[in-house]
Amino acid sequence: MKKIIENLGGKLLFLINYIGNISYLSFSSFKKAFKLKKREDIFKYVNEIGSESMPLVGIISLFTGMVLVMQTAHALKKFGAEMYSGGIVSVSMIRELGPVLIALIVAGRVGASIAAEIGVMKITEQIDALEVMAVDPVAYLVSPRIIAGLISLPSLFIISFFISIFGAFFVGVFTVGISSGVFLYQSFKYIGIKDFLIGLFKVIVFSIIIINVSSYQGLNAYGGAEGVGRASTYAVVSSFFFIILANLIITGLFYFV
Amino acid sequence: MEKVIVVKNLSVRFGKKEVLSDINLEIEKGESVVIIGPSGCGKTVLVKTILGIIKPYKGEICIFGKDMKKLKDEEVRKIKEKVGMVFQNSALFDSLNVWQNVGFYYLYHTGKDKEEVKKMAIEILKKLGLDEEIADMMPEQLSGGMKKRVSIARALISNPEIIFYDEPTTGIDPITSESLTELIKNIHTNFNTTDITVTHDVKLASRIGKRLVLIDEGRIIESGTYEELKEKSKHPLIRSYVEIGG
Repeated sequence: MKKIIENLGGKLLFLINYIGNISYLSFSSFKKAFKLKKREDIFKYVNEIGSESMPLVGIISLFTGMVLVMQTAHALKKFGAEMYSGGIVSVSMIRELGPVLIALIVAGRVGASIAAEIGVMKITEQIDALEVMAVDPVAYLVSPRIIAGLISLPSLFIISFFISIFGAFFVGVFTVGISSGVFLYQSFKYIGIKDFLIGLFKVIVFSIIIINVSSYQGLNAYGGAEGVGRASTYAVVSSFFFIILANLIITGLFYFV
Repeated sequence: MEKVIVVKNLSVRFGKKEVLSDINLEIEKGESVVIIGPSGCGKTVLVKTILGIIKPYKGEICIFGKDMKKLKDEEVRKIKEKVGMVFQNSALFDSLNVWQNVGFYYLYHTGKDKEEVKKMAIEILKKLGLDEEIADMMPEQLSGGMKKRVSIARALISNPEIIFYDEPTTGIDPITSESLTELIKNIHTNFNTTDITVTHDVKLASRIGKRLVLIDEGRIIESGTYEELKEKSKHPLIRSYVEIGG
């Protein structure tokens, strides 16, 4: 029994320490983002995080919008209320699915790559070389990515929303038989500026989580190629966990309390 | 003689393990000091601690008479401008080409024009016997010896007063290793630098080091010229090193 409690206590302490370190890195990288010496890297990272994620985000958003209408229209048809399926798609995409889906896609695609890139730099002493040249690794490697994330994820969120509505519209109008005017009216009737701002707030928080968790794993990588692989895996798994947790907290705060 | 590096009572711990214990070291301007010892004895840790990459557990490190702990970021940058480091595996930045690697310090810290930095980088590459054509190549396109030279060029570009070399000939074929040894000697003479070289290669140590500092299990065992250690020291580790060195 004592061992179980010790074990649990140890894991809890590790988690608290981990969250503390990520929070410190987030604060530090955010602070340094205002004093960047080289701004051209931001464009490179916007391309990596945003533009290169766009095709995947677009396809997944399109299919999600289509599937949502298929499911909801099918159920609502029993009550003759299939015209409301557009509203269900838009509300779920802007409040929950949109921000979470984008964050999970970016965490899986970009988070792993950030952890691997910084991890290799750590293991091959490139980070040490930066420090010898009086370059702060956080300011050079993390802060520009923070800014790039804050530009990319909200943009992906907005684009993803319209693509999902397009997918939903396509299925709703051409397959289910809802009139196009009714579908579009219903799609935008139930969402307000508050929903949009909360969705935007969510992707901003998720973006900060992805960049900092992934960078932290890279900066603390050790043990050769195996260590880089481990850092990438932990970056994705930890980002997923913190995104879902943050989503629960934000949704609870804004829609439940 | 001016002391450029002074290390007092330095200890470094990784968790509970003490990897450096009570290190005291003074290096004078223009000296070529070789820190020698078996693998895992703490040589690289000592150099990285002097350079501020690893935080000491206790002790004091002064470079150019200034206590590194008490300096502000800008003061640290000014000191680091006068210090270069050549890493064991070159540590060139994968995402930058050769001239960007060599000129990185100026590209990042100063508003110098890119073309001007490229010219400076090419000039230093030529001085080290490298072709101008490699300036636009990526690090992965270079051989091990070329990477080492580019890494030396990166360390030299800001005209440093102190250069650290970490295992400069490890993993290099004997011919390239020989030419690198000559290059390090020439740099010391022509650029008038203070050199601190970390190695476990006794032959290299005897050729480039005016003073050898022997470390074992995180402690300095003995210090002196190769001849002094060869003649006077009775420490078994030094005797075995001398036998290898010839």
